[in-house]
Amino acid sequence: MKRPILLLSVLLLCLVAAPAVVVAQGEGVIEGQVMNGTADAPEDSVASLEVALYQVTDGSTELVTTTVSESDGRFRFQGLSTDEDILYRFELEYQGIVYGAESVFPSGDTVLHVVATIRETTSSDDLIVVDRHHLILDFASDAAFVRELYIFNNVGDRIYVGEEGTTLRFSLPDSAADVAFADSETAAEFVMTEEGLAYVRRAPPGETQVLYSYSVPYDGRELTLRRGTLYPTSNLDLLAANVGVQVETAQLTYDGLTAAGDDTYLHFAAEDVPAETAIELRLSGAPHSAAALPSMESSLVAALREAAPAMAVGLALLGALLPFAQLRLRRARPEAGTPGAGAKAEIVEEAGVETDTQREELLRLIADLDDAYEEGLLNEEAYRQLSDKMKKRLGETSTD
Amino acid sequence: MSDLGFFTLSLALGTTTYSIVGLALGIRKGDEGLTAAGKRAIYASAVFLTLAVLALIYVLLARDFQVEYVASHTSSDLALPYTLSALWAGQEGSLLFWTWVLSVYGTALVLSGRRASQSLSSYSSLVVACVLAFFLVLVIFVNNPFQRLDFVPADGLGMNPLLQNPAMIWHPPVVYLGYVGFTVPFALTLAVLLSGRLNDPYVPLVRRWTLVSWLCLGVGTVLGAQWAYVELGWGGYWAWDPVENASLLPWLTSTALIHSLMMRRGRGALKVSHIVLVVATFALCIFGTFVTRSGMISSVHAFAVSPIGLYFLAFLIAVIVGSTVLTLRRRAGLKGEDGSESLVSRSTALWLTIVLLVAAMAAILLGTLFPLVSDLLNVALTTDYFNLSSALILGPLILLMGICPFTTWKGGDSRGLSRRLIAPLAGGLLMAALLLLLGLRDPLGVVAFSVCAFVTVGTLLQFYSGLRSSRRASGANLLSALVSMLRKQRSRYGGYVVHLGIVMITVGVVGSSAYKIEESITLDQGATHTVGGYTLRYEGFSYLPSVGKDVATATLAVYERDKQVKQVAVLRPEKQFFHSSQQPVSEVAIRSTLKEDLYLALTGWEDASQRIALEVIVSPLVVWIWIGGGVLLVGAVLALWPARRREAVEQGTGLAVDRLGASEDTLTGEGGQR
Repeated sequence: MKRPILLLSVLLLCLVAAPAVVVAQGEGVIEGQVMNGTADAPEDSVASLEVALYQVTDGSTELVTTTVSESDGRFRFQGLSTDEDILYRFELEYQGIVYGAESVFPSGDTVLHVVATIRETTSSDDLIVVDRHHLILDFASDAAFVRELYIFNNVGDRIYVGEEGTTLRFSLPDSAADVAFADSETAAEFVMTEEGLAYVRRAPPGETQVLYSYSVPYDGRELTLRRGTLYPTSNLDLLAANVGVQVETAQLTYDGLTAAGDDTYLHFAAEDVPAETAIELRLSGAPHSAAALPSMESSLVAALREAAPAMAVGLALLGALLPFAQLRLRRARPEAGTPGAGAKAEIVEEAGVETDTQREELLRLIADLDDAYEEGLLNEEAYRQLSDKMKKRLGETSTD
Repeated sequence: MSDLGFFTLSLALGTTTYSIVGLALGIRKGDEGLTAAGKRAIYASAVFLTLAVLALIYVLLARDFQVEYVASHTSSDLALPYTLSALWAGQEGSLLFWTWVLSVYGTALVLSGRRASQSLSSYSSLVVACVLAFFLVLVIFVNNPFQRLDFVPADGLGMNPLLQNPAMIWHPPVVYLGYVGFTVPFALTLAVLLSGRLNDPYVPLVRRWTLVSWLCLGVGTVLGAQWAYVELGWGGYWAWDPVENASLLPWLTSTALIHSLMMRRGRGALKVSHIVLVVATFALCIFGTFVTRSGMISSVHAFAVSPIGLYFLAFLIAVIVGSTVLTLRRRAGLKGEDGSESLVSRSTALWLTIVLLVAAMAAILLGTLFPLVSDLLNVALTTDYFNLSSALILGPLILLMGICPFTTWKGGDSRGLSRRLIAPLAGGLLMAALLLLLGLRDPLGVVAFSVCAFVTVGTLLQFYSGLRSSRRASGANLLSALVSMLRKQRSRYGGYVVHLGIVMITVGVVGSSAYKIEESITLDQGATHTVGGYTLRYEGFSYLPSVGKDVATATLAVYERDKQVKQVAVLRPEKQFFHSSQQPVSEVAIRSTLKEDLYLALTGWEDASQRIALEVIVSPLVVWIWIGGGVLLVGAVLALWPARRREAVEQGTGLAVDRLGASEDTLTGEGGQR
């Protein structure tokens, strides 16, 4: 007897809970398409890939369900809530790389179309080029500080995964010390190698930016800094702080002075430098201490810039006070005579002004009235009536 | 150059504070010299602000990336027109642009004020100077476009790819011209209240300023809708986004204001309805900026969120409280509102128009602000709310647009009105019959298009009867009679042209929203797909690098089945990947005809097989929205340009009537419908 009651209770519970489940599941559908972004990829690369759907609400992520892509790369999730506050994230793995994307249902729509582009990988760096390589040199009394910025471009359509866990390579001078990165997270993306540094992140098609810095000892007499290009480089720029240090190089052309902040730099540049080109920079001469020899112009400009907001406030106050001063000066003028006489004179003058204004206004009105009559906006009777009254008033004003 | 820009801004602040104190002191002490100097200081502010804008343009063109604004909104490969439009692409630049436009408007107000009374001119200049000072303080101390970085970046971050569209060169400045322009009617209204000259003619004073700002805001909004249509790639043009609503709200109240300015009782003096609508319009313009910049309500336009929103909120409160207090102080002297003994009269129709416009504004404002409380109430409003409420309110408004021109000021003659409406009604019914014959069964569509036909026939009849009387009066040929009619009654016929523009926009909105066909398809090379009478054949695909971006293009031949299948177009939807941005941008391909648009957006592709994914939309009549926007522009320009002579007549006769106490009935007006 107990068994049927238990079954009945479960059934009842299911019936009560069913609408809630239906509401929770919703009617949203995600129609997905896996595509391979590499031109010569195998045709079946998009088939049979496991796609996982996650739901992100209020910062917490939970797995909703998984599915497998069909032979043409299509996949589909259904019974989803279309709430705009829910962010759907789907992930799939191909050749050891996890691809993911996020999306929400468009307002009022129950179908969400998503496209996931996967790519083939390559360990060849033949299609890796450097669009821009900046070398920035600053000097202290005992060292030269070097910052290097690279903008790489993977011009192929495969993800460059390198060999043995490292991808892009960077050379460092023999005497380089204190190698530093923007933050600890960036530092974790590099490993030290024999020739210098190597990147551990994969380089997808498109741009990848890398920035690091280091110092080399320099006593102000002479130093030859050897640098080299490991990849074909479109633009190579050297910026050396203009603090008295002589810079000579055969591979780069001097392009004049350039300003950066309050400092100026000697600018050297080269274009379309082939891979494995040796660059030699010969430095000589002691740097001036920036603090010891400030340029008069830059310190004046800096001081003025510092004081600019205060100057704006000052000008605003000056503007506000000036009318008071003008008023006081005007009142203090001797020709005003006795207060009573002055006041009377003002009244007479004002009355004169008022009469003049009235006369001008009446003349203008009469002219306007003539125009209105000519344009047919007034009938003759109204025109004569108004015109006569105005002319009479004009006469009165003249005799006032 | 950036230092010079900052310095000129500081000088502008100095001259503006001089203007405020000089005008306030001059008015209080009756010192005309000081008042005149205060007004002249506004010219100086405009000159300094012009120099500041030129300085910002210079640093943008020189690509001085040490200036933070230049580095944040441009890059060395940005095209020249977009480098110039970067002036208003970011918050700091757009605030400077706003302030400069305000100073130019202020100068024009002072210059035009020479004909108005001294005290009105002084008070209105004072109000403009106060608003100018508020914006200058923001530009100098909170959002300075000339802020410098401590280093020089090798290149700028570039402009948001979505903003790199021709519509974005014109849309923001035109909308700003509208927003800022409403400062002038606001200043003039406060000036009337402050000076106590409540019986002076108010309508001629503010009419043209209101029309100019209304026109700019309307055209700017249509330009914005077109940008969304061609750039966002979802096939729509209006998403009821808070910022879109922010430009629509003041446009609705200003439309109500224009209709309230047509009321003729009180001989054009200031009335409470004018104050309410002017202050509401100005406050809604400030509210729009608050919405964009505060991030209080999430919006796709809220590119930059900053504490500047709080300053705008404070300013908004000051505007509303200040205007309310001032109105209450002067309430005894204000003219009564128009009313009519008859229910069927022009006054009643205009009142109904104003009420409906304000109701539409209130409904949209409620929906815009609703997200603030939706979490508390656990209820969310969808776009359906906006679509339904605006259709329910604006539908009757369109109908009213067809009836109003046939009413008379005197009213009461409902039989006469019914007789005059027979032809428009016949036009509406004919349209309904035609649509039913063509197989359209959707009641909403039939009613909407029939109402549009009713209004169109009614408006064209107004032109016809005007032309007939003009020919009878002058005996001239058709063309000279038309010119003479338009020249004599520009505002009336300009208004009718605007009405025709609104009808066209309505037709476009109804057609494109109720009968849109939308499909997401994937196509293999050489495959075809048929949608809404068109057959698409996928011809080829390319992925090519371009300046600053890579472009993926699909080529599709479009065939249309008329009597026989023929190729009508080749469309090339693109997806662009800007090097400076992670965000891909759709460059949609559209085949536009008066009947419908075929809209293709490339959503994805597979390099190996060159299979493409497309969003295909057939959007009927959508082109009429843009044509309607153009007609609206023509109508408003007709009403405005060159209206000097006519306005002088109105003002002159209005003044004469007031001063000399002549009976208004002696004026013939314009066929009894002045």
